[in-house]
Amino acid sequence: MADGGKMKGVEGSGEGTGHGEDMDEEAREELELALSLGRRGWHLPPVPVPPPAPALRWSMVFPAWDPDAAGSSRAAESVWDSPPVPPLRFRDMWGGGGADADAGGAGEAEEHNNVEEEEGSEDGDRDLQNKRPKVGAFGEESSGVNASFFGYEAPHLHAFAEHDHLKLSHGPENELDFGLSLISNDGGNDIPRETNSHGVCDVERSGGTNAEDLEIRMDLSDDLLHLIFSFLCQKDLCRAGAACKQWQSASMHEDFWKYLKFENTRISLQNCI
Amino acid sequence: MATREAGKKMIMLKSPDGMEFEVEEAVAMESQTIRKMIEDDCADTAILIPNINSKILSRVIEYCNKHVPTTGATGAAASDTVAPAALAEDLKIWDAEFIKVNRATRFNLIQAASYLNIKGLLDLTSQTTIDTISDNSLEEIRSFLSTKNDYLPEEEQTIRRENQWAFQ
Repeated sequence: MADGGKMKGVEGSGEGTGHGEDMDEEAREELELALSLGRRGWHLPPVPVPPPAPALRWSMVFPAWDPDAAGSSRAAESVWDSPPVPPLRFRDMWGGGGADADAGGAGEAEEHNNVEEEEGSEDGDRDLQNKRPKVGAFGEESSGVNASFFGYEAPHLHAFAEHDHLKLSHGPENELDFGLSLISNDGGNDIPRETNSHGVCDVERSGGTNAEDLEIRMDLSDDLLHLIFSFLCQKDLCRAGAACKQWQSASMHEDFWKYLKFENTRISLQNCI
Repeated sequence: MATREAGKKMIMLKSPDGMEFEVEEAVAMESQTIRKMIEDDCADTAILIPNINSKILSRVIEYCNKHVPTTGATGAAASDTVAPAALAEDLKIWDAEFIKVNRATRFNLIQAASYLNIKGLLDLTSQTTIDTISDNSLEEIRSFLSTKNDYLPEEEQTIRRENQWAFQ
């Protein structure tokens, strides 16, 4: 659809770094998967998943990714150095991951962070990198790539999570403008463009949908999500937790579950599993 | 402290895309973040709001403008001789109208309110999101709030089964 075309356009403009990022994204998802398994392992204690498998994946992924991104002697060095390290870290994480869901989330971000350090990545905002993987992984594949592309292009813009967000929502809009101006040249008719720019302002108030709206993801930081969830009752927390993984880990925060409230809930026998 | 001849002092707020907004100090002080800046005398020149674009910032200022006479302790409230209850009612209607924006704007408003620490706005925007969550089915939540379902089908089945009571 038009949406897909736009995404492609934006991706195309980020070709250079975008390719390397793709691999990074893959690795990230690998880790995400492994960790979510770990989290579930916490629910069912006797089934620990053997750690070597993901560790192996990691060391396989990196050499392939690295020369592409850096291509320097330093990169080669880190390729040789890194394999023994990740398995160790992973095992540490498997040990600690069971403590609680939240710790798992933090650890995962940190792991990603460490790995980046090994790669000799140049950006300095460690803190913000912590937030990024989580959010990126939950966006669409391509929007994740874009987010990191922008992040690499201008690391200082990382200062706040919403920066990427603004960037992202602006990119496609420009694309759209561009496309429409082409059309108007062909057709000799200015109206589409006119309606577009009008529409953008209009929609702000009316709550309709436009390109920007489709792009948008609920990419709130964990803090904000926690705040929003603190308004929810426990039943709604459970439902919200089923929406996606970030929401689940947010909804399982211990703050919400110190006391169980059964007021006005219909608990029947078959609900008590 | 906050009440030092604040009267009509103007504060310049700058968004990263270059727009400048001149607002009364009392209005700007709705934001706890800016209030602290002003109290610490960091606000002599324009305050750069680094992560909120002009579109969102103008909405935020609109909100603050509306809310300042009732919540803030300003002297400008002399004309407000209307009964506080009616005023509050008015404000509620205005809020409801204010929050009728698309999702993108709403999320940006949440983030802005969180950064600028404007409690009223944060409550308002969060409450709207909460209402969406509590009133709708899971699929509707996903589509309204644009979260992506990243569960495997069997994972989702498990979660639904474990939390069955919540889905009835």
